[in-house]
Amino acid sequence: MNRPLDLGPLAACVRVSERPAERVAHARDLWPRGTLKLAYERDPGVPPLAVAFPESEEQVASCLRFAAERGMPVVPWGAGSGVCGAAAGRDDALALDLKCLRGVGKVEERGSYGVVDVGAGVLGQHLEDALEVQGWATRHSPSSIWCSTVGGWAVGRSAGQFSSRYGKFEDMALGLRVVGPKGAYGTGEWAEGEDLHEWVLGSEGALGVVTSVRARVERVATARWLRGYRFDSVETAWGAMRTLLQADLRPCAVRLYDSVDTKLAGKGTVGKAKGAAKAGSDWLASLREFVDATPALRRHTLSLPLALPRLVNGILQGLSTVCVLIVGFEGAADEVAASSTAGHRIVMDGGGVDLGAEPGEHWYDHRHEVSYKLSPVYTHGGFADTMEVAALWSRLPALYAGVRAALGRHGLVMAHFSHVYREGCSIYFTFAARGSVDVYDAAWADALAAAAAAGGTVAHHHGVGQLKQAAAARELAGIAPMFHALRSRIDPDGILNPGRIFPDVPPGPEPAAPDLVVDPISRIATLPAQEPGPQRDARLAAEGWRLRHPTPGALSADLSRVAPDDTRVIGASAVIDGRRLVLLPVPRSSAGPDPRRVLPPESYETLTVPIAPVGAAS
Amino acid sequence: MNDSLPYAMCTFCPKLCRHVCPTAVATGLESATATAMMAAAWVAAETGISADPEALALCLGCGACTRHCKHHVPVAERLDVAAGRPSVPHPDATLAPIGGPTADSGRYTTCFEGSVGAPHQLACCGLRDGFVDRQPQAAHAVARENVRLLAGREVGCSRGDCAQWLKDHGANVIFAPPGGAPSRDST
Repeated sequence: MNRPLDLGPLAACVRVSERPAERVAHARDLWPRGTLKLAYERDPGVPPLAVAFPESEEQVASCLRFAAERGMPVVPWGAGSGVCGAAAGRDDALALDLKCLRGVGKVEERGSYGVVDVGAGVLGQHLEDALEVQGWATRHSPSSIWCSTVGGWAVGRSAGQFSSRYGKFEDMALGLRVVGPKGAYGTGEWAEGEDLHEWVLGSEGALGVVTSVRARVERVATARWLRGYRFDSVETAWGAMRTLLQADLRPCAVRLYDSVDTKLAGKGTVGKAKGAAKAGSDWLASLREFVDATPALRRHTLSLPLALPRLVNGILQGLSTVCVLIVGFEGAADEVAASSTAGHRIVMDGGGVDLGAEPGEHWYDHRHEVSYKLSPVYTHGGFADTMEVAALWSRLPALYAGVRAALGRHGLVMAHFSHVYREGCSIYFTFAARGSVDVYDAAWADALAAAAAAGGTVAHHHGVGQLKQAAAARELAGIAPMFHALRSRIDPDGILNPGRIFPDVPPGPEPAAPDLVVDPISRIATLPAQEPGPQRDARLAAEGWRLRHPTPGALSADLSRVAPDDTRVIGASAVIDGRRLVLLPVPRSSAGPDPRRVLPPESYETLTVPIAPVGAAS
Repeated sequence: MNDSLPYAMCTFCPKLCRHVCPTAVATGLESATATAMMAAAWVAAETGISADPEALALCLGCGACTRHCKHHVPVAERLDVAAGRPSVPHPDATLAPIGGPTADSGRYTTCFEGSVGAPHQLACCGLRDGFVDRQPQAAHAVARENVRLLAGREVGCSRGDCAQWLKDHGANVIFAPPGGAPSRDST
């Protein structure tokens, strides 16, 4: 847009700023590619034309009307903590800073849980503070809790550190108020008529601006139990984690650090704990202490891995396969006592060596501090980024090996596994390399391809943004026509964060229908969606399985929610407008909206659902 | 630390202190975060082009960010240097969260959320004496937000300079002494 922007009509009803400092502050979010360009190319990003600070749903509507009348793109901005470029500026846009959509309501009790209405601009820590004094908590605890907003959590399908018990934020968000250019609408509990809840969650501003959220909250736990364990390998630990989750003990934390993460990141987290040093080689711990005490060496502890990542990867991966697992339970005292006793036995039987409470307690006390490690990487001439992928348990080994190898060609790589479900697990890769956009782009291209090849989702909780838009569009190619049709209806002028999530890409060849299979490791089965219940159940029983969530009729007849940490649908295939779409079976994803539960019931062809052994309690 | 290192540490930090910054929380301005201000100073230092003074003007010097930061970056002091203004010692000792939170909890800024049923959120900005004179623009921005957001609410206040400023500027706010019941002497 070349003509001067007359903000007068907008400024009459909304606080708006054209100050250079304010525009520059909205030029880039926390996508490391933008940070890299700032650090090494002195490129501050692309400032928007102006920044508006609406304080109400009505003011958001005014902003969208103003922008629509001028064909002006709008980039919603919570706290700008996204790491995929969804909120990065553009030079023709109005940035909509939503932090002044404030307010935390009074918790309404609903038996075992509560609900609270929250302004989309409330920072995560402020929400927790406000809830704590009422005796409640979301227990949504992303490492970004100090610098991210509730609205951002919703539109990015965020995950927190206690997701194995409380679910991801899309499992906690029970209702959304959304403003689009043609008006406001509610979703979930606030829906009137058509419910677009599962479409708006994960839409990153493309289907409207979320102004408030109704969130499920939990009573503050009265007891907590944390423990660390040493394992000989990640493969052995995966077995214990899977058994723990499939035993329905509902741990609040299950975190496995691979051998490199145990050795390196352990320095600041589990490594300080008594006994945890044994998780790595003793001599390595001694060397680390020596380096820490020697400033001349300490200066090079970051420089060397950044300069010679393959060598360092090889050395670290070859030293030892020993890794550390942290397990936690919380809730009422009697429940915690029972579940921790059972859980401890499972982990020990699975090959764990008890390291005591301290590794877990140390992690808990410092669980939001990991991002302090970021700045020193840049001041040493490098960059660091994280990649969160997820897969079924049966596909996890291939996903781990594939992505680790891909990233390891470009940088130092380590991983932890911290969002754990009955059906599968996410992997959180951290990689660091020398500060070059070329290295960065090559690493991501290889890693995204490796994740897709291994049958994993390319995004578990960071969303899509610009970074993953092509990969996510490929993963969810089948729903793109529905998404674009919906978007055209809500936003006919295409002003809502255009060019980010789900670009228009040509549909690929129609996918084949998924095989009808039982996956005993992940405890899921892919079954005909319309098959009569008795016939389906008999077939499953013949193989020793039953539905985890029994239903008398066809599977497609009941896809309702179960619980924040439990789901009825893992994957699906459907035929819409004569064309088949396949939604990858994964425990959770943030590769965009996730409509796998809400497609027209008659359109489902197959459904991938949780199963349990015949005779086992659900 | 070399000259530009503190600025770099904040520039490449994911704004981990933004929730304890009174100005950033009260105003909602992204440019008021320590990260944004220090980044402006870092770019200026790296390019040799002077920073826009306006970009460095929103720091109250309260030191909340420094206390919260694991690296203890002296943000206020370095912004004073970058802006070429006299450096004033952090008024740490004057910080007095009111009504429950401890000084190191960082929670005193949550008062701006205006939440229901949260006693500590009835505290004002948590700052006591001295900050109005230090950075009038930022102080007044915070105070204005207090007046607007907390008008009619019971606000814990130490009756320091800022409290007087609020009253002088027409705040219809009920002030309360630390730890005590609100006294209804609103102006």
